[in-house]
Amino acid sequence: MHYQNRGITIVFSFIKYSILLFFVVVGLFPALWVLISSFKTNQTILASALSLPATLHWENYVLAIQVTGLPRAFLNSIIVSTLSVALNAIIALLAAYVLARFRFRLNVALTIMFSLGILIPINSAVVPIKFIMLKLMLNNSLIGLIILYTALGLPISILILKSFLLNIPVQLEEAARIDGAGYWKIFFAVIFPLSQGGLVTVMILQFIFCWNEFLFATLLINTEAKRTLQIAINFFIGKFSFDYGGLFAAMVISIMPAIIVFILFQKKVISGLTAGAIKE
Amino acid sequence: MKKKDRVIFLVVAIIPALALFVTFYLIPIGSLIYTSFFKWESIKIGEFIGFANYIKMFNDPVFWQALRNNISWSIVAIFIHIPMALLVALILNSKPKGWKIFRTIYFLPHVISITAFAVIYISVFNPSFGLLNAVLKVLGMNKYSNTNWLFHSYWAWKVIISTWIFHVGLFAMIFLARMTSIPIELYEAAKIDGASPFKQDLYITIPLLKNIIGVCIILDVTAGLRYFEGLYIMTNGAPYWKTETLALLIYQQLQSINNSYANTVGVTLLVIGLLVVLLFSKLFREKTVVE
Amino acid sequence: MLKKSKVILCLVLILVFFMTISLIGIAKEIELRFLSLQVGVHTEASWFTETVEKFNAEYEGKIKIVVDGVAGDEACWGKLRTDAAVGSMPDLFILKHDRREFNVLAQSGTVLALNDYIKTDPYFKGILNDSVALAAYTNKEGNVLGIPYTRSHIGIYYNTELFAKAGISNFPTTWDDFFVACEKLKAANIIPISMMTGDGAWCSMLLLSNMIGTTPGGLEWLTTDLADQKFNVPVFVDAVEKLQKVFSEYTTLDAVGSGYGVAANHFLLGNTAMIVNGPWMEGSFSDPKSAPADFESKVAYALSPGDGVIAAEGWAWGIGSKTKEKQDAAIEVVKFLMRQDVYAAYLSVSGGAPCSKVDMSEVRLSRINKDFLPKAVEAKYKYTFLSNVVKPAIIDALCQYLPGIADLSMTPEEFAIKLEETHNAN
Repeated sequence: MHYQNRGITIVFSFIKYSILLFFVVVGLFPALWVLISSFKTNQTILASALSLPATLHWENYVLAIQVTGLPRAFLNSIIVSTLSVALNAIIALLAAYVLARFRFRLNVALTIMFSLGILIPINSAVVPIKFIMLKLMLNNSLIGLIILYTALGLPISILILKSFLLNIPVQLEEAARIDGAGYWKIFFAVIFPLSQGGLVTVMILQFIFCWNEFLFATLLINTEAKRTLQIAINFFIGKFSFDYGGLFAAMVISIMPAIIVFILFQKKVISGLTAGAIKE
Repeated sequence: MKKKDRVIFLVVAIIPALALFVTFYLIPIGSLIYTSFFKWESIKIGEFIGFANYIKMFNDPVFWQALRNNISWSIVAIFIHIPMALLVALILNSKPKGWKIFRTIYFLPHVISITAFAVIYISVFNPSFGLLNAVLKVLGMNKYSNTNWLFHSYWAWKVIISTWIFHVGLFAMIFLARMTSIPIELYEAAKIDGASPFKQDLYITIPLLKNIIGVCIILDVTAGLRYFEGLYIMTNGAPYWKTETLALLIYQQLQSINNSYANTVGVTLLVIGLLVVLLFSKLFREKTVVE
Repeated sequence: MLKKSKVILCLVLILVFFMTISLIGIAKEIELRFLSLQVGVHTEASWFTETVEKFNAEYEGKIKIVVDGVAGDEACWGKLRTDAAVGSMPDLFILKHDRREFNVLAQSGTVLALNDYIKTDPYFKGILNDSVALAAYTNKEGNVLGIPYTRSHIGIYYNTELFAKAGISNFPTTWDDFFVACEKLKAANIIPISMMTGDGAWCSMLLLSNMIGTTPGGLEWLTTDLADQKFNVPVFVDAVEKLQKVFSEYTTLDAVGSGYGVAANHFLLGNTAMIVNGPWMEGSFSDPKSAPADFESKVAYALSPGDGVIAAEGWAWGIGSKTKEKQDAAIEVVKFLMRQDVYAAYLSVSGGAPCSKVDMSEVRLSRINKDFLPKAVEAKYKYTFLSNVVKPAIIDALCQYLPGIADLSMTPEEFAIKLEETHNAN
């Protein structure tokens, strides 16, 4: 029996698309602004709200690529971000599984402990963390950054994954247990495939975090060869001199991978995951 | 399956996270709490002063203003930001035409760095050449078209809120990710019973999202409690500390090398954050079987 | 049996060989980490890069400078003080005279005291002739922590074309004349001066310093130690009164809240006729990305009304190395930086004044500086700027309360009282 009433459908549609359109404007505005500004020069960027550039200043891009060591920094950021994303995902998933499914004495204490990590004022932690990195011989190394970023992203990743894991029906694990599967087998064969939604979310967030991270990248990296992208982009600003045109060109280059990662990863979320599994 | 296997699994699974946490968080948190009881205004730490920093903090009007602002931010986050994100997610879940493109566009603002946004907001809110005032002039609202929005006693904080309140892409994405794992059969069964899409959302989708909504609230509130970079660039707390937040206060104090006072506020922030996490975890908990 | 002992003998000989070698020390290149903000779009970046390359070429195989570039003053200072806190100081860095930074580093005990080098090395004896500069970088225990490199004379840049348009022939020499000039500019539809309240209110703070320094009692105020500073005093309140007049009538609408970028941009585009800033700004006058063509020819540099100029110590070269070997190497770098050709090149680019003996004929001053520097040296009142004589919290408070000064909701007295309270609370 169709509930649909044509009039209401049209009104709903209109409201739906209006809302969607509103957020499109909100979402596109900053991105478009950065893109348009990347073709302008300092004068016009700081002087007028929305002027279109009279001529396209492609030299901003040329400068961004040639002068600041952007290609090398780009590569470094890719290495750091992808490895940290992978490491963070697997470590967080393991921890989240333990906290979500297993009742044991320390469960609550551990949960509280990991939650403490979310709200650490990062600037206060700068000196202790640099001290630790020095002691661990991880200073001025990309590996150090990878490990640090993985750690910094853990509390949030665990929080999100815990929630996604709680939604996986326990019957699946019980069925596997009846079939004689051990804990590890259950983890890799049952939990891992079914937590794709949560994993993708966590990986996207971790990627964005690593990609845009500036504070520790500046403080812990001393040599040009190891600089990450955000450091290189920052070279376009100084206290009394600035090249906003070059800055935005570099930013456009830097935004690309993040968008690509988002699009690629989102493809994985589409499939209905447990739909078929329950029937089995 | 012996008990021993269980213990081994638990230990091995939690060790990496625990190791990282102990290495990178324990000392900073410990140092944060420890140093808040000392005088520390240069590189070397000074003498023990007990609760003096805390007393100073509770008597500091800037602290209270910042706290008020944080509370207002959190309220907006919980009651406006998250529901909006949920609404958008629900709409996208019905897969209207081009929904994938919409989802990517909505996520764009979260990829753009703060530095870019700072310049963008200058261009929007600048009294002389900003976009907002230009639009107001066109609309004939000349009474307002010269306002210095970010530095106006009344408007400054509201304008700051407006800079993030419509960026729903991140949480919409998280909600969507959860929604796609809801079995279609549930919807089919409801449709057979004659429920409208609206009712389906209300009685099936939203309840199943209870836990993730709680998680998103925690994420949003804690992100707001942590945020300071944009504020620092846009207003740095001005005018008269009206756009000050606790995180910004910590940053400013560290810049002035008032390290122990900054850490005192930091400890406070930590405690507030913990309470937020615990409160909302409890409120949005779903019953689940554990073993 | 014989073979075995032959083998043992060989092994022992090899062992002795390596031990001797290690004792002598095979010459290996010493790497020095040079933390610097003179990178990226900084006006002195090209000078710095060229200088480092020159040094590395001349000292190849012996000493190598590895540049740790952090763009932006705040970010670079953040790294330096973090390094000081954990004991991983860079080998070479810029030691600013800024009291906030200097005091922190001086107390950290991580900066090398250079007294011995200065006393014994004939090179330094020959060129360090400025005791005022040396004193500026000496800590309470008498340790000289940096080799002074530059000091700046800061005046007021003005647009001669706009001034002519408003009918002003000479830059005002008294504050009364200054306000008359502002009125004339306003009448010609030109906004007189760029101001700002963000980014530490730099340009506004400089103007305030000028207003204080050129009034009686101002020089004393600007040499008071920061712990003893007083704000609710006539010399300060009067200066704030002048500042309030400027903020409320003679500047742009967006002065409140604007950072350096917007304020500078107004001047570069010809929207405002004046801006108070140092010689490092000159580069932007001829940068096609920042200023219209021919802009540079319209700019002149003047002393502050009241015949004053901000003569501030700039910065020195500091050394943070821990081993004697690296310390000696770092001194070599500093000596290189003080070499006539290198030093003159720096002064040409930066427009700063030297802190040691240098052949000024090799310094190619810009047109603007050639005109300005002789006047600056002869100015009646010379003083440092406000940030150097107040606690850091004051500058933050300044930025918070300036909007009140600008929209007249706060009187200069109230402003001064608020700053006094901030001083006492910190």
